[in-house]
Amino acid sequence: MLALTVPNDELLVSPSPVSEEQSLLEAVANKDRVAFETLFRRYHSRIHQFVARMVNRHDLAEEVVADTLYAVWSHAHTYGGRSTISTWILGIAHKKALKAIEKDSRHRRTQGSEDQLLDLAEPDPAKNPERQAGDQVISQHVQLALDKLSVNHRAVVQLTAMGYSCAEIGEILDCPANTVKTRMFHARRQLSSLLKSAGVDVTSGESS
Amino acid sequence: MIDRNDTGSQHDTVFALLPWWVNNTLESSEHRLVGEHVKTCQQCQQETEFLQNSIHALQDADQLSDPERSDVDQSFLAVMQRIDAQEQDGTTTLDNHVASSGDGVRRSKTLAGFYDWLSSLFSRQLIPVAAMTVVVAVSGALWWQTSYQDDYSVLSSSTSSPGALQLSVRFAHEPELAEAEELLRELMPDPDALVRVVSAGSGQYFLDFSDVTTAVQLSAFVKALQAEKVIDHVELQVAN
Repeated sequence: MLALTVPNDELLVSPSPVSEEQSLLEAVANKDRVAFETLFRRYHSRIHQFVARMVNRHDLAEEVVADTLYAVWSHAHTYGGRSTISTWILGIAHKKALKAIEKDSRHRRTQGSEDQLLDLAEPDPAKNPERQAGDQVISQHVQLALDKLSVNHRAVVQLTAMGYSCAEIGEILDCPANTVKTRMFHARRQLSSLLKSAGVDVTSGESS
Repeated sequence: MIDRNDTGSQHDTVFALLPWWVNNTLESSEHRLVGEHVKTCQQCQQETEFLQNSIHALQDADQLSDPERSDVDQSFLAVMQRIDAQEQDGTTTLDNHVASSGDGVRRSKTLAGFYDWLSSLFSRQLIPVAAMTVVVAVSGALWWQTSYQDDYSVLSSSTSSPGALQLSVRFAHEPELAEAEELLRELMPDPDALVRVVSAGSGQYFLDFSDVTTAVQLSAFVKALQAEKVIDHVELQVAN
């Protein structure tokens, strides 16, 4: 069980100093490959986490990540400084992911997700085995439930889990903050209902 | 415990903000407000616990599915190859333009023939051809812009706001705002698209939609509203 009233600091995105990232992006705009590699390695994992949740397919996710970072290289000069670099890049990733989903006529949101999830659970012997097994079951149930939500709802939940604020999520998804709140409200309600019907009590961290 | 009836409005506000209280991204004033409320509200405490556990579950899964360093290396190399190929193409195109080889001369001859044909066409039917050329060029440019141009400079510009589209709906009776909103959301194909419902009194409500609402969604919504017996009048407006 987690502490109830103290938000976890680990949930925060730890952004690099803005000025450093801006100089990096300026260098990328001037076709500096070393700067691009730094930016690439810094953002690859974050983009992958977001996109993988949206498209639900590892190979497609990797393709979208590569497309996104290629777009960062070719469009770095268009960054207007009106948002943080992180939200600008994830905004590109969001557009690319939506296009990929649209193009991929074979994309099936829920089918096959169970197989993918089974591959995720690699036990870590350093952790308490019983607790870890419980955590994994909960984690798998939460992921399965999330996979059943719409792309828009999944995106909002995932970005929140990645530590973005409501306003930043609005910038990434290119919609008003009120829409983000509404999507989150519906997503929470559906998640809770799906988990309850699967016999999982997330508030106590137990599944029956 | 807080009495829900007395502080329903504050509870709703706090309840909506809980996900960002949990991920610690609220502004300090909001953070304080939520913290104070959660201390005394059982429903918000349960929701907080649900959100914390769900978010942790997702973060654990993300850590396990993070790409290996070798995968990132491979991905970087693939993108660099793509960049090289694109730059190579750019150089080749440039070379072709300045080429003075036989191939270049042949291309020049072909171009000269095309210009001759175009000139003769213009001299014979100047006005219709010019008009047609303009129409084709403009249509082509518009199509190309909408199909292929991703303008990433406008991303995250925070220019999106509710209110570009507004619908005026008048009910036959005078339902409470919550009741009206519930019915409206049931009828909307994508409830997320309906950003705000404002009461204008006497059973009339103004509806704001998100910028991403499509014409198809709106059209289906208007049809559904018109089919409802409890709704008297529906009118689409452009909000100020």
